[in-house]
Amino acid sequence: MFRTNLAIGLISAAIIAFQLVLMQILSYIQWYHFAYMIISVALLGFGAAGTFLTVFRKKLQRNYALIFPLLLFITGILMSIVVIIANTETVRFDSLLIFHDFRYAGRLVATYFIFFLPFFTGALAIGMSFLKFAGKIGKIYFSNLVGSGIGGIIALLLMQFVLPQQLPLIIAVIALAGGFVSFPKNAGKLLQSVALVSIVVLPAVLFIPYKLKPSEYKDISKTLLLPDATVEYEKSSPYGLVQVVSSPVLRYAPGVSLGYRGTFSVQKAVFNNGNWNGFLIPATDREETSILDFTPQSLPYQIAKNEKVLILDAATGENVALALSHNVTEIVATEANAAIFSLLQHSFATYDQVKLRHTLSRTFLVSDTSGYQLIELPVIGSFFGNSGLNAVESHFELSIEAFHDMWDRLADNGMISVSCWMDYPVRNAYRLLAVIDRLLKEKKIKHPEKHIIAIRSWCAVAFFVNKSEFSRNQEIQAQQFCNDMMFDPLLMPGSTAIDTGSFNVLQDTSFFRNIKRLLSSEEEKNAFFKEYPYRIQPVTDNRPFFFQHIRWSGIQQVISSFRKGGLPFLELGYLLVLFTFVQILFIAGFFIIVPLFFKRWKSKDKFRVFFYFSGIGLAYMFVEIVFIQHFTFYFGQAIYAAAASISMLLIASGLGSYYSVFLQITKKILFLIPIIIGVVLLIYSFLLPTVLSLTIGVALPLKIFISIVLTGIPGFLLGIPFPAGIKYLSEKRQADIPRAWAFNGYFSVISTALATIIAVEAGYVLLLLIAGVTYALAGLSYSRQKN
Amino acid sequence: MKSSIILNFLLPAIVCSTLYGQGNYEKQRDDMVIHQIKARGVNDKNTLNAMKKVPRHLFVPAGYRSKAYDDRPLPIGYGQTISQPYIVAYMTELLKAGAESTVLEIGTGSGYQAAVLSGIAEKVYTVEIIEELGLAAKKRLKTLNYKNVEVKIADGYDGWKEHAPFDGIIVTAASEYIPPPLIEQLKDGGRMIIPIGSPFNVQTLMMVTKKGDKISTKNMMLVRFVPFTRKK
Repeated sequence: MFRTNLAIGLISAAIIAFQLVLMQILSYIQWYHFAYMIISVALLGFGAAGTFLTVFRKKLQRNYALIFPLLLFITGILMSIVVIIANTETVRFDSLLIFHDFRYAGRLVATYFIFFLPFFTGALAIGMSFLKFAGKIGKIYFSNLVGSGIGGIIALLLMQFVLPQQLPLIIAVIALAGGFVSFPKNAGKLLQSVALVSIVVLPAVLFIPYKLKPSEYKDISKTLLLPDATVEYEKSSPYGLVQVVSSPVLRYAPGVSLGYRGTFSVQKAVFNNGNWNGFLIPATDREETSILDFTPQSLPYQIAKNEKVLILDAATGENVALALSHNVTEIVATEANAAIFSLLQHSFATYDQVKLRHTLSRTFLVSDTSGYQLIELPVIGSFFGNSGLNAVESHFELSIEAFHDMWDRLADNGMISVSCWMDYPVRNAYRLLAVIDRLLKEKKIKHPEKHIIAIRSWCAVAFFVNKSEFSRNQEIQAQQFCNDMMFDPLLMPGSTAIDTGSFNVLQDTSFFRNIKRLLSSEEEKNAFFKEYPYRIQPVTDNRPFFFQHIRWSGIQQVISSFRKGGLPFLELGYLLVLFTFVQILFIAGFFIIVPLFFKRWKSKDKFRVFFYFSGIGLAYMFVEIVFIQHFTFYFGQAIYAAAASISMLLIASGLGSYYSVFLQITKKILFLIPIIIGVVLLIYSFLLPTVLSLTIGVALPLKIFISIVLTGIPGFLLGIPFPAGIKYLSEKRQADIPRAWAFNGYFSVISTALATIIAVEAGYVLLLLIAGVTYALAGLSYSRQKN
Repeated sequence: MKSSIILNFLLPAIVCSTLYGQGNYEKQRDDMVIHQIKARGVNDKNTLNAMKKVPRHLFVPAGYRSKAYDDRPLPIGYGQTISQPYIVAYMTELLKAGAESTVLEIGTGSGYQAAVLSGIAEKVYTVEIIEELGLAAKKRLKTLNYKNVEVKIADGYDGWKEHAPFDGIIVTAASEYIPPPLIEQLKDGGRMIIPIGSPFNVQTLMMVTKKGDKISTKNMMLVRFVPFTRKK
């Protein structure tokens, strides 16, 4: 039994690690949205395995000793080769071309299927064990959950040191180890042959020279087409693959004034997961950044003396360089991405006045107590206006609460500087202004218009919010700056009129009317929010999706515009999640639910089994997603927090599962445990954000302890319902177990995308509440004696 | 026997289908001009005539020929696209080039935009940084007999100083900055047209004008967004 438990732990670790690695790989070769696809593919594997078990239960059970290790070997072999197959010319898809060439949709399906295979075989091995040892499910499930938790940690550690394309092979070894651990003494020829093949295939894969090829439309692909472009530096990290590229024609001048007549120095570009991340500021330019003085972001240095400056999300440090060139005496800069942070450290190591902090900007703001003359955010969106790509990414630094935190960190004469690229249709500029307007209202500022300056360049809008009123002198200096730089003032403190500009004319003047509406009465503003085809209301910590602008009513319009061949990137992020959800609903339904109808299900407890196992499958992922968000904010380290919260939750659930072994499982237990979970989640939905924000500033060891306690309590409880349910069925009606597992799998599959949709539409608080209610309803299915 | 079959049946069939194909493309081109370009407000006769003449299907990869006259951009490899026909026409109209104009294009791509301009301007200079694309476009333009187009493989940042100043400049690759050399190589009173948007996502066009020392921009909203109005 120990060997089986160990093998289950190893295959579970391999599956989770492989899932994380595939997410990393697809984020590099495509875009990060495919992380959802991988989660769904993995869960689909589990669901389909459940269905397969239902249909072939007896045969599989009879040959368990042989089939279990066989599946582990096959999983290992598949893990080592599927990425190579998906990366070949004939299979590789390009998400951008899916909308233009139907063949690529076929390739996407093929990729989906290829990635599905190792999850299916691995999950089948686990499912067989659940069935075989249903009476001891608590221990098996314990191994499964703890193995999964450790697998997550292994993947993150590996990502730190190994390049993405080399990772699948290492993880395949873990799966194979499971095969060898469970290798029976009387192994037949088939098993011996497969084991031998695995021993041959894995080292062979090591010698297959392959390199992951990112989409030709990714920034790095285009940059590498430039003359003499070479990758000079590569560093893998859980945040992505960071690459530094040099070429004699790479220049840096983001949105520089048309009045600039100097030369643009050639620099090295930095990419994270193939996406543009910034330039390495050359040593010679760090103190004399004349180009950046020709951008709207330099206005605060033209109209005020800044001694202490906070630069949030500094990336490769262009704003740090700008501050240095203006002799700022203390510059604090934050950056969360570890690999980018090390580049930043390298660039500014010799400057005593620069203090770098490796954390999320928001986490830093909450725990810091200093007063700054200037707080600067990076330019929001992207030059191409494809900010919709980040639609379902949380941006806590742009919520209304974040602006409150920034305001509280300002010195009396301090200023917040925030700019955005102009996007069409305009969304980011409106949303930023709406946030600023709300901030000033909530701070009860008497004359808000006297605290805002906004200017426009040919491609960007910059907003400056001062804690005290802007002086007349500052206004004149700002006007002069605009004139010199060929920028246009948009909002000036001495006037309530909107300047339509003379240097940068807009053919569509509705922009100015809309800016006016955003600054008018509450009724007018709310009417504008309702009428505008996109969501532009300020975002909150509960729904921190700054770049999610799409409305349900607008989806049809976006889809119809795809047919005309345009806008695939506009708001694509959210649409892809919706698309994934619908696709998974059908595919998972087809693979998991439909086959169940081909085998007659004779059971008295049909509905009970369905509601119980589907309910707990659905709600577990909801809890996981909420916890990831909260602990990301709490620790300031997105990836590590995600991994730690997932691993802690899984390990605590494992312990809960182990505990269930000692429970006498009755209907009452199946009723009570989910109800208790429901109540705990209800309490958490209201108290968790408060507890975390109150303790965010405490020392790290205490923070870790708090997070273990906060994750451990629900995690432990969440680990009980599934093994308890299976154990109950094993005693009452074992034939229902594969179906129970299939239902659980199906609802876990759809819950990943569904959780994101609920979070975007209703917020994290409601998502956790829904999880609680779902658990309670699952428990209620065992509340009465009869269906 | 074999040769007689080829001569009597296959060859006429091939010739017929080719002729039919060409006729079909001509019809598609006419439809494109009427329904995609004219209908959206492009009225400049020179532009419409040029768009009617240039065989767009010969500027797209063979696999996309059947979609050449669709109302959409198409991939041409190397992460680049051939712009949607309407965008090409709109940019051409905005440039206001005449029979005596000298035009510079930055970003040759497939060579389609240069081919359209060649029917209007006296001389078209076009610069492409990706060697493979530039060489292919050069060959294509030569084969199709566009004699007043010159292609150079170089960094578009520097423009083409030897032939400056230009009456108009078209930049077909979006950039985070407008290179000062291009502004310098623009004639006083000249126009520069730049699209702002990602490959498949051309959203807006920027018109840069130079009058003495004053450089101003005009952001031209595209009709694409007109349907995006909510009903009250």
